[in-house]
Amino acid sequence: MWQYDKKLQFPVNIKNPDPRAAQIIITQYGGPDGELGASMRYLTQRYSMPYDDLKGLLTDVGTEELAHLEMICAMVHQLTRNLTPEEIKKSGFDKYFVDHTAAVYPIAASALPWRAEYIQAKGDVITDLHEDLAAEQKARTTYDNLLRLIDDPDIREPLKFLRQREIIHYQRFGEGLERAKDRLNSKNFYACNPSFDKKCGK
Amino acid sequence: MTPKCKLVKYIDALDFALYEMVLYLDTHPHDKKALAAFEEYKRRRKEAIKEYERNYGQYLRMAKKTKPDGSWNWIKGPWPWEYEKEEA
Repeated sequence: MWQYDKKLQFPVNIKNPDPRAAQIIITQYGGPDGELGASMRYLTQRYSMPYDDLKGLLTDVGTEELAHLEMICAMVHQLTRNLTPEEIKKSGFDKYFVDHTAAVYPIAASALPWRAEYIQAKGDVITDLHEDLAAEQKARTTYDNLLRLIDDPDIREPLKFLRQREIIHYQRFGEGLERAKDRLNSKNFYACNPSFDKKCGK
Repeated sequence: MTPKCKLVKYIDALDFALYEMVLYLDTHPHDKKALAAFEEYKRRRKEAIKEYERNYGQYLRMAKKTKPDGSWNWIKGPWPWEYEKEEA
């Protein structure tokens, strides 16, 4: 189960609404490398993970990703508050507005809604951890790209925090992969799949 | 920044440090230095909450508790995603 902490992991307080920025930042909510996919990926992979330490890691990183999607949603929400019809038309926010008004809906910057195809749970320890490592790097690149396009420090600070977290998670998953390999046949990590084959490893 | 606001920020920083230690300990479960750091941050957080409650009353922000006036605190805004001009 989960308990809700009534706060953000890192503060989001954006003075000036900017619906143009909101339309690209929303991709880290519902886009291919966004935080919604991240949390679903890790929390889903837990069930076929055979090792207790990595069950813990997937649970704890997956939980932190829920806090990250909340930060992204807070940013989109604050960037689209108090808009006039003129501002909506001028910023190109009108296409989103007709479908969702000022609600926060999980789509990519390209407007494609979130899809389960963005994630994988392959039921193989080595495969799933590589998926996770790649996912953290893809999210980091996305934050780098957002930071290239955005100048407002109120928006940049939480984005910079989230970018750093991708790097930490990548580090932890890398260590997780090493810990998994330590339990396998060092001459052939793929000799069996410890998620499925019962007698496996050293 | 008011002293109260500073203290709340300090508690938030400790919450972050604690979570960071959780992830680290998942892949370094026998690291004595990290385990000691985790316990130390936990101790500091407890101290900071005590200091908050000495000066400002119940630390209610995240608690599902009855307010001193007898009402339900949990639903009191602002909620975390809302823009706040000045931190309370």
